[in-house]
Amino acid sequence: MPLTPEEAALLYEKYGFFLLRRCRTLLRDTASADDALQQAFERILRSGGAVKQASAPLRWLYRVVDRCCYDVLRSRRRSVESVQSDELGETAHPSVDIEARDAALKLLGMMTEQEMQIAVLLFVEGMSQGEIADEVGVSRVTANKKVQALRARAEQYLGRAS
Amino acid sequence: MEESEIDPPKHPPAHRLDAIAAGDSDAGASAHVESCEACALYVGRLREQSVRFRAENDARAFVARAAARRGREPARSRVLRVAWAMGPVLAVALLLLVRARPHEGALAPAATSERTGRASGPGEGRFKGGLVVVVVREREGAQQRFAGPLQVRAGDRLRVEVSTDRDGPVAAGLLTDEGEWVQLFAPSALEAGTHYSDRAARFDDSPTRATLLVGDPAAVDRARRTRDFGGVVAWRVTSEFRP
Repeated sequence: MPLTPEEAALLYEKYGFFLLRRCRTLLRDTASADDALQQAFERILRSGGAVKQASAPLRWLYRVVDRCCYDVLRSRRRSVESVQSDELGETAHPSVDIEARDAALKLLGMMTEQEMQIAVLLFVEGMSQGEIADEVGVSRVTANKKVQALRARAEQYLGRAS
Repeated sequence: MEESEIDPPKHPPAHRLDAIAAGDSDAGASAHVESCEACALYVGRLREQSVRFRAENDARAFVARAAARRGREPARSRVLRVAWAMGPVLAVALLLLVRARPHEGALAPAATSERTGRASGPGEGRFKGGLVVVVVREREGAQQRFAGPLQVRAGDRLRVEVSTDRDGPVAAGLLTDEGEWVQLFAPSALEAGTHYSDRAARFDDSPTRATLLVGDPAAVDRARRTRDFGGVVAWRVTSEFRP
């Protein structure tokens, strides 16, 4: 079900800042982030009618922009050498270790889609392992293993591995 | 052991805090924010930034740009739909490709490929027209990037990555020595940026002799018909193990 331009404009007005911030956090490149957000809205215009029934519209929209960002990251398929927090990324979720987050974001392009998704839920959303298991649709044991592996990769990247 | 004991949720996840900052109501998260200094600070900062963002950005203009972009999509989407609809045909073509018999005279890398500069980085080939082509070979879960002729073996998958510094049409595919065509990149107008091929070619243990062609769709089509590979990227793809 498509969305009218007026409906999409209302969404952008309310959530545009958050969505652009999300894209910049994941892609760390202003031009790519702007492009990914446009792509996301292109999809929303085409088939985003379900957002009107969503109980948590921002969460729904984050899933769409995350997917657009994963597409960009997949096409890069390499680690990003210079990752710096920009003005939009400075305000990190209170649960998030910013150093580990930045290390994980540098490695996003080298992850599978599920790993990317878990890394974003862990390091950007600040979710617990139980919440991640529910969101990704895996068991808590699996989520736990994957989270530990991602944390270890981030720690290793930071040179903090024991 | 319960994971929640290892990793208790200290704060609501970002999407709930962000939604509060955007003006949505969430009684549970709001109650937490009222009693948590860190979350209150987080939400307060985002609220300020989003107010500034709204004042500086025109939502209608942004959506108009996205809609205009959408207006440019149908031609490409149609081509992609055709490519997907032709999946079984392409699968047969791929089967023919991997069963192609060897031609000893066709082993050398295509001398007519239009490579004009040094590789721009490991595994990248830069060509005229701001086109950078990379072949990504997936083997046993590992990816390797190539900027020229390459060899494959059973189980390998090939995809093409094309980067352009300007908008323009591109097509890519594998042309077997028997003349079969396996499309990897449907002819489409690409925007400047990096693009991954629509399809991947998977190989079995039959001998493979083919040429990867990448370039302007008209030039690729001409190269397919005439076997004159001038004006396109043309790299040989052969089997690693000869029978």
